[in-house]
Amino acid sequence: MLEYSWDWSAAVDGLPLLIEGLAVSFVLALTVMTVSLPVSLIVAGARLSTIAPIRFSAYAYTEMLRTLPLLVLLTWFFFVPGLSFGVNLEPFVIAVVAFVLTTSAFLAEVVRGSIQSIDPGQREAAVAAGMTSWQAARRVVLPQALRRALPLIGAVWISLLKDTSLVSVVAVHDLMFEARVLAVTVYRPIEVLTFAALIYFVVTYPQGRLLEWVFQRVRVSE
Amino acid sequence: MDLESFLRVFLPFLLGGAALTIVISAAASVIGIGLGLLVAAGRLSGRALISAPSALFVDFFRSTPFFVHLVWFFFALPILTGLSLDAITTGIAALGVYSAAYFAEVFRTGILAIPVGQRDAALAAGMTDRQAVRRIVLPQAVRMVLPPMVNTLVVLVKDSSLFSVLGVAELMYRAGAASQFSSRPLVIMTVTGLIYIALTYPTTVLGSVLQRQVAKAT
Repeated sequence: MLEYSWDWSAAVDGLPLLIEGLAVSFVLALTVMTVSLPVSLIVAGARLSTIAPIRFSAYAYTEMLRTLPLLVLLTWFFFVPGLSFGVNLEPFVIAVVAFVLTTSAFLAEVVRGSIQSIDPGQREAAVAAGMTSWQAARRVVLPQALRRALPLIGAVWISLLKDTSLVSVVAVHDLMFEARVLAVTVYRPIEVLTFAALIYFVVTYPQGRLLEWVFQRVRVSE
Repeated sequence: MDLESFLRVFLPFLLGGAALTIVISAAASVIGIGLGLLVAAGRLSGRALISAPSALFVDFFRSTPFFVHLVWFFFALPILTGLSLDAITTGIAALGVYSAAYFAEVFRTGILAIPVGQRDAALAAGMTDRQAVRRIVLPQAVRMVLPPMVNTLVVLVKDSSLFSVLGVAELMYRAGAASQFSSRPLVIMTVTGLIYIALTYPTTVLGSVLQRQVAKAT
């Protein structure tokens, strides 16, 4: 073990910059979530479709995007539109597109699982009471399914928030980007990165605890 | 880039990277599973002096991105230990420690999911404490734990793509290099994506098969 003299002053001075980065991470994650939710409803609907080609396409979509590393998608959208088609996308747009693809795939699986967990009798009763199939889905099945999906959607949100750290690779100025730049400009990488890790922890951990609490409540009420 | 140069140059180049991805993931998962078992046992311990730090370990790593820790290990390990480590070793250490937090949760929830009555019944039937754990509790725990373990492994393989940032010539790194070198990123990146799917998809399928078997058995 070497003697290392810690010096936190540079990290503390850089705090406003890191917070700015955190704001970018948050805006990115919120944008991705807002776009992904409706997309995932459509994909989940498609996976439950009775028409085989639609069902299969949705299956391919979720399985492919859930197994691909995010970095592959980010790099794909970083290189391909520019080098192959001459379209230069903003880093933020690249990040949103890549993240929406994976996030919507994960959310679609969550939504599908929740819809399938609702007793078919609910739908049958609604139809027997005179609702159309569409009304039964919208008024009876979906509200219950989404309620059941809520904690899992929260879990997807938390991992999304952590995963946004990858966008620093395509030059989006998020928390991780600012931390990496600061680390090498002030020559205090250990302190700055520890600080960044702590910021992520302070932001994510309480949300995780809140989620656990919601999980318990949903479970009890059933 | 014509088909021949793709098949003779680029594809072997990428597949070489995939081999390294497998080696990295295997090494990191050995550390992750081993350390994860220790941490899970620590969290289940009755002594607060052991269980509190284990819980902190799990919560801390699970609430922070792997990328931060990867870069942290890269900078901090040589400075703090005085050893000059290469990027692969540093990366494997980081991924091993990080995934240990996830593995630990998988093991802990698996063990907690087994009703206490199972152990009590085994003891009542005349088994020793050790026999009860080995013959009754562990076999059931392993069955419970396998499906989420497989999921954690898939995440680990995906996370290993971040090693490219440290300059480790695994699949992702080579994909970036080949994209620029060939100026045909569409082909290179798409093939890379397919290689990753080929690496992880069979594992996901195994995971859901195991999940169904557990559901059937319980």
